[in-house]
Amino acid sequence: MAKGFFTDSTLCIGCKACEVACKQWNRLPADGYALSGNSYDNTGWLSGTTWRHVQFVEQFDAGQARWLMNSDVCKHCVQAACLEVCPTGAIIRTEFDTVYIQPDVCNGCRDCIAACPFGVIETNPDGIAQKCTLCYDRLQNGLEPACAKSCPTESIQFGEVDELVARAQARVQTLRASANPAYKSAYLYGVPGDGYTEEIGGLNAFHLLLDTPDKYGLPERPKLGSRATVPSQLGGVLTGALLALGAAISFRNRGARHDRDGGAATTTTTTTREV
Amino acid sequence: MPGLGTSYGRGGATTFLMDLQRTDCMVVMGSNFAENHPVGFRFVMKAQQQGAKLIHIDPRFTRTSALADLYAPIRAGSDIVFLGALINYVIQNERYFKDYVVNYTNAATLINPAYGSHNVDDDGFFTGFQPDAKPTPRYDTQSWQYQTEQGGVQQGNQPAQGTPETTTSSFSARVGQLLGGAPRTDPTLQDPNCVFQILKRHYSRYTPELVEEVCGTPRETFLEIARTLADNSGPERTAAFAYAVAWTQHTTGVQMIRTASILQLLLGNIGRPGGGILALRGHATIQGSTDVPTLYNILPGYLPIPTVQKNHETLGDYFAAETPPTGFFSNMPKYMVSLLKSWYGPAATRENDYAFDYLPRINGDHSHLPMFVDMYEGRIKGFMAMGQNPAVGGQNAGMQREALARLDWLVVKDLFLTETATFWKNAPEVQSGKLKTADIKTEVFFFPAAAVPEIDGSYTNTFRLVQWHDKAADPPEDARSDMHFTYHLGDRLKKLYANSTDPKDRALRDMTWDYLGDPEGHEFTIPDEPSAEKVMEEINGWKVGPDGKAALRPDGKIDLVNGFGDLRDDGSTACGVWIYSGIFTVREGQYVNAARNRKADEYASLGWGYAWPANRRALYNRASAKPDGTPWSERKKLVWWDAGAQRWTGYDVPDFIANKPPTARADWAKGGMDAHAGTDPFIMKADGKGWLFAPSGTVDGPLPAHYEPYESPMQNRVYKQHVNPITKIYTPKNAAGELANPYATDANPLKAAVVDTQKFPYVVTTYRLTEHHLSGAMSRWLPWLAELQPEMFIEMSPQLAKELNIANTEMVIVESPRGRIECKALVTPRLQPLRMGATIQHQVGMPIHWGYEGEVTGASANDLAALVADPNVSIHEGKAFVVNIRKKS
Amino acid sequence: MPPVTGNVADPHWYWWIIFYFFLGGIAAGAYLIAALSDLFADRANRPVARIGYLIALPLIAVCGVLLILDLGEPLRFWHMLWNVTTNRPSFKYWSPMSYGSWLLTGFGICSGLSFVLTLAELRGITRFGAHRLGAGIVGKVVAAIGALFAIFFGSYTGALLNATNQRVWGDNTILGALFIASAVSTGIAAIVLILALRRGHDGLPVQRLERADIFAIAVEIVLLLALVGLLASVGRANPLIAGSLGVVLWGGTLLLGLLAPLVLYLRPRTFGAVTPVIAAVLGLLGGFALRYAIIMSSQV
Repeated sequence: MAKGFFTDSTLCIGCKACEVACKQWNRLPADGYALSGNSYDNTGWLSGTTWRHVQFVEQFDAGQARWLMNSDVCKHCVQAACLEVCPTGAIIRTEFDTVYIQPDVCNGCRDCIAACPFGVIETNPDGIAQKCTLCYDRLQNGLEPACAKSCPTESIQFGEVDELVARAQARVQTLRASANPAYKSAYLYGVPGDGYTEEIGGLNAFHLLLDTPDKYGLPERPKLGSRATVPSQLGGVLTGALLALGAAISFRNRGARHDRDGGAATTTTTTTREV
Repeated sequence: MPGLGTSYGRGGATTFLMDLQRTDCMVVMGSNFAENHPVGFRFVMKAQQQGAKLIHIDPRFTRTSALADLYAPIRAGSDIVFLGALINYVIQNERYFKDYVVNYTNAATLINPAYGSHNVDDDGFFTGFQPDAKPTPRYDTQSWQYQTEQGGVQQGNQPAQGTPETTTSSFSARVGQLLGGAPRTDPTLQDPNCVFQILKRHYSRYTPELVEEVCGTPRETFLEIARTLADNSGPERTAAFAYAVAWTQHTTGVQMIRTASILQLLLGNIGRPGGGILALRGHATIQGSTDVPTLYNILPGYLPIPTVQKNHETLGDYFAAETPPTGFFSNMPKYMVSLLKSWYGPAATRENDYAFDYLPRINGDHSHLPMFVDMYEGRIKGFMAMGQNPAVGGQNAGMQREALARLDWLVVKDLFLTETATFWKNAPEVQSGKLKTADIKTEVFFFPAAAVPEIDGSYTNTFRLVQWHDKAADPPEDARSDMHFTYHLGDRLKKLYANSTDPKDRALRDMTWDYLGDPEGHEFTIPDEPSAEKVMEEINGWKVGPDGKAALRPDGKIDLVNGFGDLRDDGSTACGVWIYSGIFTVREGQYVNAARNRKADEYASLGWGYAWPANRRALYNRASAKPDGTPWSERKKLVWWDAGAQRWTGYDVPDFIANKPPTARADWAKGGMDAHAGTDPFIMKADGKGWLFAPSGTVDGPLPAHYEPYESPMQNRVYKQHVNPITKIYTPKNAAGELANPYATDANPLKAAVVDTQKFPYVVTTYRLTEHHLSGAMSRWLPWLAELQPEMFIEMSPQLAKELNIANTEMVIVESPRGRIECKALVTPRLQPLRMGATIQHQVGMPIHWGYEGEVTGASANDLAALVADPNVSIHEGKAFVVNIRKKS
Repeated sequence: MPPVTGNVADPHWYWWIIFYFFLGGIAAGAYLIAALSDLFADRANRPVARIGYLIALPLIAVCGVLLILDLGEPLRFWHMLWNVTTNRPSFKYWSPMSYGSWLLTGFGICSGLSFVLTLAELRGITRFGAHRLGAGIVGKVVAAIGALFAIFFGSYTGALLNATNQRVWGDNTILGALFIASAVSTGIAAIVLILALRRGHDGLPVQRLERADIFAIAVEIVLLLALVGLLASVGRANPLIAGSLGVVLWGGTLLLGLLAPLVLYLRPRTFGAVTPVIAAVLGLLGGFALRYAIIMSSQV
């Protein structure tokens, strides 16, 4: 049974308890101290030492007054780009269907960082790639992830993905039917048929959002980079073969192209010496 | 506290957080609920998920506003205009809950005709104002009193003239002799002297147009809020209010709360599920710190403190002056005598007035601000700051730091070396050279404190809920709990004065001080740690044995009382805090500390913790039923009369005498609770009614009236008197005779005027952020919190930033009459300039979390705040003053 | 393909990797040319083969060091080949980072063998007939296998970049082709440079190389323009073609690194005898500029 997160951003109050609970449980260090000026978001993005990150989007133009808040996290993609490219096998799929980077295997090549469509992974101070583990150690002991436990408004909901999806779909219907016009645009990002995440099979940690994905820094069409491997490699091999052919032909040619005085080449004789 | 206490009888939230899920309309005002009470806020969100509306009224668009259905901007300090206009709307449009108002409030009560028909006249004063009274102007409240059925006017609590007082009758009997006349009423609400008509006249000038002009809230937004509120009140629907320090921290703070209290009574929301007023208190256990108080002016359980300013010569005099002869608080003698027995044990006897003389008498205002004024002017020798950080947490913080420098000795007990502990070397005044470390003679002692997981104890949260917590780990090295410190301080003082014959030392010698734990029955590794459980037992109260100490049961355990109903005024019981009495319940013959209970359910969770009084969660819940005892509606059932069992029953513990039928008639002449009918829900008030009009309890008026904050760029447009005429203004002078606050040259509120807007054009408000706690002494030392909000900033609108040519995150200088600080600018459209009539008023905001010690440091907003306070409770006006801003070039 | 959108994190592949791509390309190209020379050219081309074999191994060794230094945990470099969890070899044919490690290993072995055989020939080491193995069937088999490795190795780095979700890198599938073309032309340039410096500038080998390079450059120009075109079609060309990277790409790669050498090859008298040297140097610079521009285009 796949376990995951349903993060309902309409219930997020931007308290960042999830960020702190995650750091406390996983003994992660602070990332640095600087006022970003970007609303109340001084964390900025997910990193090797920040595995939950609350986003703040102030939308106060053209007569609207809205402050979107959403707790971003590793999406634990059904088909994970990071897992596909990982050369050491450090990234695995656990028995909970979550995506986990084994910290004692990773050697820090950072291909997963390049492959992740969501910018979730970065290196930690030890030089290896790390991200949300969906509290693998807590799950193995029958506990829920620290962020879900600490979220006071149950914006972060943990459970079996199928059940979460059903719950989320019902929630979207309720929101769209409510009197509040701000909720008319509610939708799910990361579930089957959402129009965004088909290529990666959906997300085991999906979100309920109120504006288009780009407003939350999410990609319109996340893809598996490894789908490009064969075409690109094939192109390379064919080009290589072509150039090899060209070179071979050139080498078969016994005549010189020219001599240095500009005259036409004389045939056959060469003036090369043995090395 | 007095806002709610005056209106309803108890100074605490009238309802509990879980109840909010039953509301139809949540109004959050003077509060940033989601940011500062995130865990409690989820109940508001549950209500929203069932269709309830959330309304947020605030100078800034905050994380609460982000979840709100309706947000209204407001100028900091103008809340009484807004709320008064809501009252006016409700009355003019007849949206009040008539049956509730007539039966459960004092709307029908007639007031002394001397009160006059004009209420607060255009000048801005109620009747009875004495501008020349010393030391400061005040009100004579005689003209505010109720008319009596006998034809006279009530006198308040003075010994009835000519009544003989004998020493043989009990205190309670003597209280009975204080009975005055029953209040005279007009149930048709037509008499021009009845409270309802007075209220109507008073608020008739508070119109939607006034709101737009004074608060800066668009008229249409105001009206939408008024309609939503009215539509969601009544028998079938209820609305709730939540407020916090953005109402209390004003010179009119108590009156702001009073205005909301009046409104909620008119709408019939008090004591009803999904209704009420939630005072959101800002520390985890601050409710506890006023219940078992560390306040100078009350004794545990909100008993009045003896003072030389009244006739408190003997215990009998004290009761005569303070005890209302009707209503539940007529039991005051039982609680006071039990308190004295708990403090002085065998030494408190009938003969010596139960050692009443041991208690010092206060002779004025000894709250934080005047105490620091005394310290600044050199009159205080020593000071203990335990979990308090006035060096950056106090108003006009620079003055407070300079005050610390005049002490002979200072004790700081805290988790870290806070700004108060290090002021002598790191304060801005030392950095700038104004103070020299070598010249500061204060001897500073630092005692490291144990953190919460390292001690046993309890929290009393914002809705009076007591929850126990067990120690999980030892504190490191020398760190000790505050209780350890206090216990051993007391123990050493007792030993020091053991042989003293000086009468003033009797209190130390005789105080009962037996709190050390039993080493056998506990896993202490700190052998001399006092037992929190023992303290809680004393708080609960016990029967007194023949030796004057706690009586023991046959099994050797202390014979605890079952609740405050068991307490006596004859010295046979002892009780530390009467409102907590009953916290120990009996289960299978064993005493169980109910604060340890952890049984939750979908709603009231009566099995989780213990709420005072008597585990009642929603106070005044009698009002959730009609006068005949049936619920106002099926949808809004909470507590009702079970005719079969002849008891009140329901989803909560009834806040009423359990077997008093709704048909019980009031017999005023009998006094006590018999003077109340079975339809009087407000049992702590003398007349059993919710007070729309307050003849006593608030010193600055029986009704709220709008006055400007002490420092305001706008002239009061409602009355001529600019500020609250009883504002407490402090004008401390340093050794050279210079004023610490150059703006307040005169302590007379009648002389206060509009500030020079050329110098200080912007209204500023201060506030908390979710990520930090107060002065940052508990949060800025933790990297995980420090990185979430690393730097001090001032929030301003893009329009103001453009006017001042300030870019986002640029350093600016913020200046007030007290001085200047530097911080970064956070430019955000969540702040907008206010359109007030023809003028545009800019508002800015500053969080209060920074200081010069910690993982992240920064300037303190409190350096800029003024030394003025509300006259009822001496709470400072931190929420509205003025500043100027410019780029730091 | 729709362009990459959203907030992505870049992998911080900077100088170690830029030089790895560049030097690895030269090694692949040089070895390929050397092998083709061995397999198809007459003995007059022998110097080409020898030089190619002699520079390939040292370059590969340096490449290995660069890769190891770039790792966050350098001492775990061997985890690329061995999965310590399953205790089996680690190989994913769909992940260029994975199979590329094997390519590097295989190519390293082949280039090592060719290197040793070349040395044996040059030093006249007669034990086991070593000095003749290089030119014989053994050498030719090694060369053939190594040439295959070289083609894969010289292009897999392009596939590596394409197989990501980074802007520009992930917006096309043509980098494999482009990089092998650049590998061939920089490999040729390296050999031309050494030949020309050591032996004279007008030899037949050089001219044959020039001819091969003309073809390679032409193909490379087509591929480069195709790349820009593909990116432009999804509106993602700017990071590469504008700003300072644009200067590097158009000025460094196209102008100096491709067109200029092409012109010099077609007009061999332009700078007299040193013309091939200049053409070679420019070609190398251009190859470096190409790697730099493309790698940095996703990481600004």
